[in-house]
Amino acid sequence: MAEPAPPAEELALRRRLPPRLPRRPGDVYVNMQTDFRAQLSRCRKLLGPGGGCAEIWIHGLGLAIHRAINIALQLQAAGAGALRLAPSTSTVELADGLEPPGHPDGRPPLARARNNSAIHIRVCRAPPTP
Amino acid sequence: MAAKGVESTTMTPVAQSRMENFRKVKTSEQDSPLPFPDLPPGVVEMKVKEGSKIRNLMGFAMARMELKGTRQIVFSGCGRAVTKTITCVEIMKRKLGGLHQVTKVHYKTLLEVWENKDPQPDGQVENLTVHKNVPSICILLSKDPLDPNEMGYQPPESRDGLWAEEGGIEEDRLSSPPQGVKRPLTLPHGELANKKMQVQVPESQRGLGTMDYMLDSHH
Repeated sequence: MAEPAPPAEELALRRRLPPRLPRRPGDVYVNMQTDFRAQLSRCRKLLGPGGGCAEIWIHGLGLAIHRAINIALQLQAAGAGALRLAPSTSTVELADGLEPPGHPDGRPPLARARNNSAIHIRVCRAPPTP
Repeated sequence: MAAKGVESTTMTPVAQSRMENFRKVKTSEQDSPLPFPDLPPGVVEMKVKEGSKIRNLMGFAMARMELKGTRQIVFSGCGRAVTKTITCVEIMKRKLGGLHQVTKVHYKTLLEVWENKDPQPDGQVENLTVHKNVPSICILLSKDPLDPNEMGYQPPESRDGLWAEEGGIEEDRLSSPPQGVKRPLTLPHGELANKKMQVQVPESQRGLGTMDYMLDSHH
């Protein structure tokens, strides 16, 4: 995508993260830059005895959906039946802000709205079924 | 790539050069029954593949769902098709409001058979069967209300900002001590059912599962 200015995914960062991320320590946002094993071990620590979270939410947007599902399934496989997964999906609106290079004077950037899929997996510790 | 179920390990150069001589003959999925309880036998199942065109999938699915008789539809996909599956589900939810959703994720085992590309002069063909565990997703959309205690249940969304209301609900959930172990399944829905009238949230059973509002498509 050769655009005159780098697109800025404004909505994803501004609108979505603030209501959720600072509120609970049990929110994990998965991305493709951080190493897979690091994100997996972070989730494991949160759910572990010292983590202090009875449940965590794993969020993934777009390409990170695949990785979020992988992390959740790995946690479940290692948890030996004590973890329950509850996934839910949503659509996130992203806006690409394009600033035409010839107009540096505060003209509002051309916004192009995109829709992206997101997944939110709730991983909670459940008592093993008798 | 995290396509394999195990944590990604880099292939050694020796293994890579060995795979170059092989050609994939066939890939077969291990079919497993849909993980949803109490499904009617004639439910429409949409198998989303990596190369599927969303336009074609939605054309068929919408035609089926618009019939009064079809109450439920299942979308399933694995590997690289997971994102496309979710996108199809979101588009359908936007076009037809008031659909109840149950999402399940699990590993699916793919069996790939590779055979030697350049056969030896004596005609020896080596076969390699690879078991691949790929993440896969199954999403059930239903016009009728589903069991809210089912893991992965998602009620029909409201048009208002999903995050604003959910932020309020998270606070209420937080105010009670973290007793997630005590009532892991009923906590989100049991509490919210009481707060149905006070807070307009997407998770309240508004509309009672009927399509009383049509979302105008803005995509």
